[in-house]
Amino acid sequence: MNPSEVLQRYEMGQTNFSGMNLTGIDLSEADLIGVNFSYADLHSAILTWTYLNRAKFGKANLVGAELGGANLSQADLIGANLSDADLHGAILQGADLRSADLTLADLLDANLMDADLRNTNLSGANLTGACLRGANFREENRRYCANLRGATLCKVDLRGANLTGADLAKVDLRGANLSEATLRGADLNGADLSGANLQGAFLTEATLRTANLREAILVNAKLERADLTEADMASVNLLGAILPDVKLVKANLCRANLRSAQLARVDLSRARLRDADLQDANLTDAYLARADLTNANLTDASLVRAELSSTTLTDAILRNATMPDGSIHP
Amino acid sequence: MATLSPQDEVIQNLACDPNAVRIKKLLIYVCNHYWESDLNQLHRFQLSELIQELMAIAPTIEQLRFQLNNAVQTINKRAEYALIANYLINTLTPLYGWVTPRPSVSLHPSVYGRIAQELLQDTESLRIKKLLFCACHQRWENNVSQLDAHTMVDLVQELHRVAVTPENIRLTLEAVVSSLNRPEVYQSIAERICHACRFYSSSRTFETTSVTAFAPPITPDQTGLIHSNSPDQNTVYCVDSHTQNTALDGMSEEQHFEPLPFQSKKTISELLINLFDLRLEIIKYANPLKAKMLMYSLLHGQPELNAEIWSAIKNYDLHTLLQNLLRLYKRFSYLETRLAEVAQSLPNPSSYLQASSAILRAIKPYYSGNVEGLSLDDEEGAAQSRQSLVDASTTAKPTDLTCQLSAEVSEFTRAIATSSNGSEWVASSQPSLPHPCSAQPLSSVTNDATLAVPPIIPS
Repeated sequence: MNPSEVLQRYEMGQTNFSGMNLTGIDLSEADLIGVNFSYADLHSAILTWTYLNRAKFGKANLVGAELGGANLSQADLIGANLSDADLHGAILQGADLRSADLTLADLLDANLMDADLRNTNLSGANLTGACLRGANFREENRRYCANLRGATLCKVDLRGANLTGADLAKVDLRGANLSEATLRGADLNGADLSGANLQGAFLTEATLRTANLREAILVNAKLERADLTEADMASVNLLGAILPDVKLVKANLCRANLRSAQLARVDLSRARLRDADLQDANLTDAYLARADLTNANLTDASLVRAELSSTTLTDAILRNATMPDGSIHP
Repeated sequence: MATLSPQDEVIQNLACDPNAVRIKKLLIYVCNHYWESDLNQLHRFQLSELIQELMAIAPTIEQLRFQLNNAVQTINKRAEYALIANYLINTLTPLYGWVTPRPSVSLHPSVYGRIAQELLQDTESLRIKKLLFCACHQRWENNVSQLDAHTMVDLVQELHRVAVTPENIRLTLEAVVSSLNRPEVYQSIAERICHACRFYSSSRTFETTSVTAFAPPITPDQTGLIHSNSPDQNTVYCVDSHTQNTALDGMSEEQHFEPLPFQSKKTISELLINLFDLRLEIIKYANPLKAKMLMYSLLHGQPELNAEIWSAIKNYDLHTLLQNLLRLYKRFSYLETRLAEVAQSLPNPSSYLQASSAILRAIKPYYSGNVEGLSLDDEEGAAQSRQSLVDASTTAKPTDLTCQLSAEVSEFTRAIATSSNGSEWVASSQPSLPHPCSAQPLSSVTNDATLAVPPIIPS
């Protein structure tokens, strides 16, 4: 079927094109709101700027389709194959993408607000600048989450997203907005989170070994029992963050803001804390073997029962700090 | 005939400089830590005393650079004063006993000739010359005969003296471009100059030692601006009540200095935080790709929408385009006009006009200060600066003020600045966007704002 035929039929009120072979069809800029392309073969179709609001694409083949700037708001894309599709700047707000295959798809600056992404395969997809606020990534009470392995999530907006247990190992999340996101038990090993905003995020039991968190904002974030071994956290802002029992072995926390942070029982062995701001921090029972606290500010901090026997405290400010033996430093 | 001492010579040069008023203001600011705008008060200060005082404060060229750099970073009109500071450093260098001599620009003359040749062949060679002239002489020149008095080779060479490395050249030109009222035009001009200056880095005759010895230019975009760990710094909103008396006059066509609506460079995270909310407001009501095309066309000239441009746009994300747009357009009304013009020129203009209106609606509160603000009144050290500004603003006629305060000093700045301490972030991250109809008319905002007490931005 050629494009004019499709448009003519649509014009006449026929919206059902399900199961049809429309490979490579050019329907760019057309108004096809509410059209039904379920099970259709739209491989390499050109749908740039096309109005496809509330269209049905269930199980459709959209491999390599050009959907740049297309409006797919509230579209049904359940189980559709969109691998390698170009969705640059597309509107997918409220779209149902459950079990859709978006492997290697280009979703640069796409609007995926409130989209349903449960069981969606986003591995290797480019989600740079995409907005995913309110998107649903995971089934309640299920272990798995949308597959984001190898995806590019630079500057992505995931504020408030639920990514519990997500596999985000080595993912590029530079400058991403993850404020108030739930990342409980997520695998963020080796991920690049430099400059990311994780304010108020839930990272309980998340693993962030060797992750890059330089200049990231973790104000009031919850990181209980998280593993941050060898993480690069230079200049990170952890103001008021909750970090009891966190592993920070060999972590780089130079110039970090740890004011009023809860660091009870934290393992900071061999960690670098040069010029860190630890004013009013709670380091009760913290393990600081061979940690470097040169020039750190520990004013009013609590170091009760902290292990400091091999800690470097050269030029550290300890004014009014409660020392391991309970005495107050002058 | 009595010969002048080096110091007297320098002072005489500074006094005769077309930017003498601004030079004095900056010197007073560095020496006395307050911003003086009252012309009568300015006359009470002797340049010679100020120079002496400055040299007492900064006994070495490094300290001079540091002092001026720091001062410029706390001024809202960084671009303009960065040039003044550069000029001061270069002019005062001889008084420091040539501790850090000008680089004996050891490039072979053919290198300059090659660069000049390339620039002369450019269709925009006149604009290139204007920009080079401004970067070298700190004033805008529209008079072609005046420009003709300077050959391209001279200007290229002169620029190389002002800014030695390609990076310094880029930063210097950026500082000038950001102060122009047609930044999008001159940005590409600056890029052409930078491109032509690539020969510097490939030239083996250049002595790298002179690069390090020479004062790098102070630019508004250098790192360390209003850094979060320097809480004592406050941005000073300077009121130039008599700029029309300076050489910066007569630049109405091309150049129009305005207040910086926000910090030129914050740490990446601080800037991005607030852009997320702004971006969200845009894509709620506009096609993200249309918004990108529009912004790209605005910033890079109006391209033909072919496959090449399609892939070029993919190299930018909405975030970056928005960031560049906000950096370059400091006046909402001008942005409004330009966006509409660009939208009209693109195919299917109605869809781009729709996107344009969505962008403007989302951005406007950040310019007009309608976003719920945060009280910054208790900032340390703000009182003195504020008082001097109040005095200045009440003594000057609103129309005299080249630097309109508050109205177009973006709330964005405050949001960004506040985000650095983290705790107030949530409040600023969710701006309550007013209905467009409820927004204060821009004209009235501007008028009110000229007399308003400027916001002091915490660092």
